[in-house]
This record gives sequence, C-alpha cells and structure tokens, in this order.
Amino acid sequence: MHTEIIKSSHLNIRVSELSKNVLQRAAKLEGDTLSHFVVSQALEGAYKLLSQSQIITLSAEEQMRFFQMLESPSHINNNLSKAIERYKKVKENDKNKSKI
Amino acid sequence: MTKTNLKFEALEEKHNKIEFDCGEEALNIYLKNFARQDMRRELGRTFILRKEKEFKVIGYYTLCSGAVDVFGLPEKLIKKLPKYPIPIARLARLAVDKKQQGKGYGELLLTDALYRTSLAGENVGIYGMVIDVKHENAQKFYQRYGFESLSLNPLLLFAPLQVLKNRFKEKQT
Repeated sequence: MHTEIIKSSHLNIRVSELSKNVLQRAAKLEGDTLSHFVVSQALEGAYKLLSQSQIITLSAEEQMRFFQMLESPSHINNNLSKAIERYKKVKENDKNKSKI
Repeated sequence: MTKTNLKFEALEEKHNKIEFDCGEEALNIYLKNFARQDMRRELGRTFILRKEKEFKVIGYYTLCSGAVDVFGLPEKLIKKLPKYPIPIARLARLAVDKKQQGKGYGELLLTDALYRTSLAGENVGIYGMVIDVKHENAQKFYQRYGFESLSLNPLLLFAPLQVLKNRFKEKQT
C-alpha cells in the first residue's frame, strides 16, 4: 500500500511485549519495517471506516420521515428564494466584470 | 455589500488560509491542515469564497458524498425509490471568518453548495443535501432556508433537491 507523506509527525504508542512481537513477526513476513507495517495496516482500517461512515443510518421513524420528504418535498421558502436570487446576482456581477 | 466582486472556487494552494479564523479551532485547523489532503483522497471537496483581488479566504464549506440507508422501510415503499441506499450530498462544514461575519457570506456559501450539488445531481442521482449540525445556532441558520430535521443524534438536517434543480437556471426577475 502506498502511503503519501506530506509532513511527517510523531506518533508514540505503548503496546504490550506480546503485541509488539506479533506485529514484528507479521511485518517481517511482509518484508516490511515495523513502523511502516503498523501505519499502513491502521490507515487501511481508517479509510475503510471513513468510507463506511458516509452511509447515514436512521431509526425506522426517521427513515419514514426521510421518505416523505423525498416523496413530497416542501416548496422553496422565501428566505431560500431570496438567497438564490442574491447568489445569482453575485455570480452575474463577477461574469460581467471579467468580460470587460 | 455585493459591490466587491466575489469568487467561489475549489480550494487551491494559492488561497491564503493561514489567517483564517472563524472562532472555532476545529474548523480553522481543518481548512489549514486537512482540507487539501481530503481533496486528494477524495474524501471531501472544499470550496472557498474570496474577493476578486484578494486570495484571503472569507469563508469555506466542505462537501462529501454520502447515502441514507432505508433498510427499515416497508418493501412497497422501497420499491418506489430509485436507488438504495439513497445518494445524497453531505455538507460537512461551513465557516466564515470572524471579521467577515454578519455580512451574509454564510448564506452565499450555502447557496453555492446547493448550486454545485444540484449541478452534480443532473449527472449522477443526488436526492438531497444532508447537513451535519454542531450546535443550535447553526441549526437555526439552516432551518431558515427550509432544512428540516432528519435525525437528532447526530443532529442532521435535510433538504430534497428536486425542487431546486431548475431554480438556478431561471432568469432573474
């Protein structure tokens, strides 16, 4: 696994003798250094967790509400309507100016 | 206020983010240290607002992809849904520099986020925007624009996108 290093910093972790021994053996098996092995294994797990966290889980009632919001969405309210018009003007200004 | 021209851009190296201070350290640190990294990893995209002639970041927001699981719905309802789980865009962060607050920049950033999401939604199905809300003031801010509570813990707000789709294209009145 490729690990991109942008700015390196320290991470000190205390582990039991036993854990360290297991990690060392596994790293050796992979032909890897201990620290690189530990970091790459942990990162892989971290990325997996992060990508899973993108799925939002809701209670049954919340899912029902969500379904109703999708099926019959409420109209754009006055505040949002005004915000969109204002936004369009800001973008329009920018476009006109860059043409000159 | 809108006399100075404003630019909405994806975060780049040229933007000055060192001085950015929105009053919340976690949000400052994210912009300075992690936003670009997340863009490279495709974990989230950060967009900034700046004045035309300055590179200083006035405010920023981060969009991530996500989905809402609907496994608990009755079968006949699930069948009505186009996809499962439902793809949505997630507004993970939105912050404005302290010195620039109270000028309506937050509103512009939110609207830009909705605009970009509705554009993306034309090509890939995105059915709404979910906002991660950290505190009550933020909740009030988003509710003013019609976002409704999706879940309480964590506090998530939701707005469907289909009603927004054509809104950005319509000619100004």
